Amino acid sequence: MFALVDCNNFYVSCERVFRPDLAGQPVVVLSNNDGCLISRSPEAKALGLRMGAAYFQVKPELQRHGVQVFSSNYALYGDISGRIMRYLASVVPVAEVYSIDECFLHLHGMSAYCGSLTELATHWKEQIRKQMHIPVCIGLGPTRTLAKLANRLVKQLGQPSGVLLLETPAQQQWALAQTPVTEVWGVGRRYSEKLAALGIRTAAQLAEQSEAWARRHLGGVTGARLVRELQGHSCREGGAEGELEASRKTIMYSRSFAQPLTQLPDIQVAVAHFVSRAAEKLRGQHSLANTLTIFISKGRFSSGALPHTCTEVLTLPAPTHDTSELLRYAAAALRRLVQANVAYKKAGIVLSGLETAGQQQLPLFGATPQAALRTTLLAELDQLNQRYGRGTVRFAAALPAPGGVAQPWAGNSRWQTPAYTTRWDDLLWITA
Amino acid sequence: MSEVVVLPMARKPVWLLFFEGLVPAGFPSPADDHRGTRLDLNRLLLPHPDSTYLVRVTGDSMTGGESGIRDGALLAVDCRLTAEHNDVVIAVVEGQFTVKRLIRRRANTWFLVPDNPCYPEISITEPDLFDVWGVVTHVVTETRRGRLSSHVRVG
Repeated sequence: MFALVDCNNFYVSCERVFRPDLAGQPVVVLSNNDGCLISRSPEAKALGLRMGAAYFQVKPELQRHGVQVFSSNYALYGDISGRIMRYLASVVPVAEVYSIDECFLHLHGMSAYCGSLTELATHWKEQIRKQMHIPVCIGLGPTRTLAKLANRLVKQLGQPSGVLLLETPAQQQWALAQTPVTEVWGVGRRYSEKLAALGIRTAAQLAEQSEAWARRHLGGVTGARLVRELQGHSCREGGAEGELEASRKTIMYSRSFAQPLTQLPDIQVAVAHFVSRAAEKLRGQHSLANTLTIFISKGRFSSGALPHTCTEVLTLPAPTHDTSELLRYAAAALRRLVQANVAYKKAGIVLSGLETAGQQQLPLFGATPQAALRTTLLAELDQLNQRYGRGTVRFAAALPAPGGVAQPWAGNSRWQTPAYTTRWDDLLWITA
Repeated sequence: MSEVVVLPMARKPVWLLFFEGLVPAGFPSPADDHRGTRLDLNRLLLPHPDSTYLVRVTGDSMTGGESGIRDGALLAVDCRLTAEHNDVVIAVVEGQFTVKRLIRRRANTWFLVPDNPCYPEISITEPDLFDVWGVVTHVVTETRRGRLSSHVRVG
C-alpha cells in the first residue's frame, strides 16, 4: 500500500498559519516577481480565479472581491514543508518527497501492526493540522498512481474526512470510473488527445486495456507501466527509495528581472549569480554536471523578429562542480547569445547530466594537483556562506558593476509576508 | 692561556618525536573519567523542533504573574502538546492571536486569564471562534539589554 499526502493549496495555507484572520477569506499567492496566481484558497477558486492567471489581468477582479494578495515567500514555505516531511518520515518506514507539498509513503505491512490504515492516515492528517497548521488530504491505494488518484478524488469530492482508501477491487473500480483519463498521473496533453481519439475517456477504460495495447499506443514500457499501475500492480519506480531527499537529476535556476535588461554586463552579473547558486546546490548534493544550458528570454508580450528565447547548450570537457569554470563558460556563451538593443526579461541556467562526485571517469588531461586544492577551496566557500549567510563570499563575476543594476533578479515582491520561522527579525509578534 | 676544545657537531638534523595529544605534567586530571557533554539549550527549549515555533510578545497583560512573560519576551510554542488547565497558550480568538493562561472553572467552563490582574479575563463562550494554536513551554527574557532587544521588528 502507498499513501500520497498532499497539502491543500499549500502556499495559501502557509500564509494562513501566521494569519488566522485569513481563515474563510479569499486569498491568492503570486509567483516570483508577482507575475501570476500560483496558489488559491477555495474561496478564491469559487470566485472563478484561474491558476496561472496573469496578475495584471485579474487585478480589478481581485480588488472587487477584496481578495488578499501575497507575494510568494519561499523561506516560509520551504521551512513548513520541511517540518511536514520530517514528521511523515518519522511515522513510516519510507517517505518519498515528491514535491514541496506532496509526499508518497510506503505502508507495506503496516496494517498488520497499526490496524486500520484509514484511522492511521486520519491521525497523521490531524497531527499535521495540529503541529504545522496545514490542512492535507491523504489518498491510499495499492500503487502510487492509485494513491494519487484517490487523493485527487478526496479533494474533488470535498470529503471532510480528507482521507480515501482504495482497498478492494470494487473501490478501485468505482474510483477509476469517476476519473477522466486526462487526470491520471502520467497522462500528459499529448496522450490525452491520442486517448480521446481512441475513444478512451475514463481511467476505468484505460485500466481495461492490455499491456500490449499500452505498449503500442502509449510510448512503450512507460505506457505499459501506467496501465499496470491503474490495475493495482505497483511498478512505478520511486524517486529514491529510503531517502528523504532524492538527488535531483537536473538543477535549474532562472528568474524574471524586475526591469528589462539591455546591457550585457548586467545580464552577465545576473547569470553569474544563477551559476553560483546552482553550483552551490550541485556541490550540496555531491554531484558533478556534464552539461550547462543557458537561456535568455525577451518579455512574453514583446514582439520582434528575434526568437522568444535564445538557448545555448554546452557540453563540458569534464564533469565539474567548480563555480569558476562554469562562470567562464557561461560568460562566453552569453557574449554569443545577447544581442544589442534587445530588452531581456528573464534568464536562467540548467545543469544537467549530473553524476555523483568521486565516481567520474578520470580525464586524460584534467587531473592536476590543483584539482584537489580547488575542491577544498569550494568546500570552504560553501561553509563560509552557510555559516555567515548566503552570498557572504562571492565570485567577483556575480557582483554588480559600478553603475549597473544591483540584483536585477531580486524581482518585485510587494506583498511578501515575513520569514516567520527562519529569521530572528521576522518572528511573529503576539499581543499579550 | 686558553685552550680550544673542538666539539663534534651533528651534521644531520636530529628529528624529535612529536607526541600528538597532551602529555600531562603532574597528575592526570581526575575529571577525565567524568567528562560530560556540553549542555545544549536547544534540547531544553526545543524537544520537538518540527512542531515548535518561536514568537515575540508585545504588551504586558501577562506581566507580574507566575509565567514571567514580559513585554518583548521570546516564547517557545510547542504545537504538539495538547493544552491543559493552567497552561499558558497561544490562542486564536476571533481571528487574532493572544497569549493567556487557559483556566477551567466549575461546570467545565473555560477562560483565558491574563497573569496581570489589571486586564480582563476572556470567557470562552463560543468555541467556534476560539482555537488553541500552541502551548507556551518556555520564556526567554533578558536581564541586560542585548541581542534579543536588537531583534525588534521596525514598522
